Amino acid sequence: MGITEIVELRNHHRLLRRAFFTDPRYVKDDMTVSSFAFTLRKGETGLSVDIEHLTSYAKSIQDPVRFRLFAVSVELVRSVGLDCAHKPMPENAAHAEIFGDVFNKRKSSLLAKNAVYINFP
Amino acid sequence: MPALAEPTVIRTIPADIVPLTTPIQFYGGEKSYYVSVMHGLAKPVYNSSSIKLKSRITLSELSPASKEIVKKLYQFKDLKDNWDGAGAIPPQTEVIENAISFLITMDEIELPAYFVAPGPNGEILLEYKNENHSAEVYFEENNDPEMIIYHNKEQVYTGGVDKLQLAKYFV
Repeated sequence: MGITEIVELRNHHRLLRRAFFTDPRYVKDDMTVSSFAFTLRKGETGLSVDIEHLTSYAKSIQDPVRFRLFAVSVELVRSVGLDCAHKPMPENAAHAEIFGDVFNKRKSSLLAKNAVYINFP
Repeated sequence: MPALAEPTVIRTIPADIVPLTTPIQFYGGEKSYYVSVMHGLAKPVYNSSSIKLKSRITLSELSPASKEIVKKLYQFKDLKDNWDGAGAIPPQTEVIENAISFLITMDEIELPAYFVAPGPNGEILLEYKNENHSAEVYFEENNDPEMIIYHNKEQVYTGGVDKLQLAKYFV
């Protein structure tokens, strides 16, 4: 198996994040998303996302019954004071992380407020 | 000011919203009183006549929207460890009860929540919205509640829960 080349993330790139679509759900009736979809869990150092152009929606969503996908631009991530990096994994070459020294509710909320719903499936 | 023709039951605003210096004025009539409640925004919040003043509403008197939210909040009590399959912590009963208490307070001033969710770290989130504003109120164990208010997509307030701020944008 070849080594995955690390992609340098540019501002125009988009990152995909899954959000719960079945109760208790993070997707609201108007198809916007709760900040909890972009909240770090205790002990986590980065929020797992997929780089949009390195994956497919079908692969990224994993379970289209339980989840929906939302996209945030790298530019948005950086504008709220966070950063992101490509961190490929053996089972997911598109894996990346959003991280920052201060990853608080305000930033999670801003990411969610500006996330774009991906109309899939 | 003339009394209204028919007496009407009104709701009181919780005391922690109305500053202590705000006057509550009663105009006596034969069968009813005209009550005008002013608060810090210098505009009347309620004007009505009433024979009976109610100090607190019960769960059965909540708006339909709030009743649905309370139902969901009570369902969150059944969440177990790892409820999302990725290590999520269920919210503690005290956190849920604090959220319910806040929701009832806001419903009393006719501001029902429109969305509620449990967080991955045991938090509870209540959301409010109107045409141009939205608000997120976070409850969690061992921390004071926090609030974020938006005008469209711009954050206009972040900090502790300030019911006057919430009333300013939503009532």
